[in-house]
Amino acid sequence: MRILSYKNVLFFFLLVSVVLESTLISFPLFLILSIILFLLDNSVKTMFYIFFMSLILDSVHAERVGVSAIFIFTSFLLLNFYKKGFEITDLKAVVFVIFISSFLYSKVVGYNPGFIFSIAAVTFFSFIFLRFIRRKIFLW
Amino acid sequence: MKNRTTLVLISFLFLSLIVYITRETPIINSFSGVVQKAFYYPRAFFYHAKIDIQNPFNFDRGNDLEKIKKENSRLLEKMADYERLKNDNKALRGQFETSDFKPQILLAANVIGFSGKPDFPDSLIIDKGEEDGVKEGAAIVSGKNLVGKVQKVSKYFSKIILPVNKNFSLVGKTSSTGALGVIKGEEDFMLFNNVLITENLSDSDIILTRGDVNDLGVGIPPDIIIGKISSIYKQENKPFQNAKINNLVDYSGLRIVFVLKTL
Repeated sequence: MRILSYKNVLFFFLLVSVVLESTLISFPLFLILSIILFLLDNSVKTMFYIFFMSLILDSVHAERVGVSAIFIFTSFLLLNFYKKGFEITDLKAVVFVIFISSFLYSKVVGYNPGFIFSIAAVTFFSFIFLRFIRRKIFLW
Repeated sequence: MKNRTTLVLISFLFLSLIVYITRETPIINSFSGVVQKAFYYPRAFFYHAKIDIQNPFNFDRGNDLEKIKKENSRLLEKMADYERLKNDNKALRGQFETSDFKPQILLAANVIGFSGKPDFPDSLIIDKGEEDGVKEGAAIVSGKNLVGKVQKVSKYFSKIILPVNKNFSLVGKTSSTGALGVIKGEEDFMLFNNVLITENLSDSDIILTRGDVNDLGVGIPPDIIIGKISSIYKQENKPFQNAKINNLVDYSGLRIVFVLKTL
């Protein structure tokens, strides 16, 4: 088992994003990384990890516990239905879901709505990253 | 396989909804409390590091300028005090006023997080919560200035909405004439809205809270400084005028604030 696999690196970044999002940045980084991680590995273990970390994020952020998990799993379900419906994993659809869910999540959690440009920028980088690991996504 | 994934996702979504609905129960509250205790030091460390890093690169905050700002803030506080005493005196001459406000105490709290822009946050996280008796809607002050009001309370942390936040709204008055208006956050500044056109506003007016305390004694007491008018927008053909207010507190540099708690 490779320690430095995409999955393990993302697991680590997910943990770091919880600390960063609750202290230094006001941006739905955890949500975006969760969606990318879900595309790479949709095992129950990964989903449980994401669920548990989202509860930690809400607690640390003094937010209503469970609100992040609802957003994250709704996004996952949307992606899953899209994939089931069209039998493809179109990157544009993934990027669209990332953008919309990040934007709505920011509104609900009370992140600065002026951060729309940041969300757009990170969505763009997610697109680049997902293109880079495209083959892995198609395995899903 | 695909159906299994959908089923697992629906189960997790259902579980999330259960957690969300039962978030006030002792189990979720205890989990939240343990997490908050565990993350307290990393959060405080990162937040204070952010303030320390931010300050050396901010050339506006040189020593002299900082002294002048503090002096200015002190003088404005004195001016507000003077105006308040003048108005009180006027009122007391007519009749003795009785106050319904319950006595309040100050509870010191450390700022350990923020949301919004790093140099201009629109909400703060403090390390006091339900366990310390913090209530939603309570006023947060620094000196005689209003920092914000408590928006959400969890076991050990609370979220403070700052007056510059778009969701912030409060009735305020001018220190000189007592003209009433609604204070609304506009991200980088505040707007003193819906002031009758017949009222006199001046550029140097200080805006104070009018007082908005509920029957339990929780809320914003009167005469706390919110900011200073920097420009006035007035059109004679309109029934209301408004003014731009600049805050006197540097929200991005706050380490300690005080919660106004009812005795």
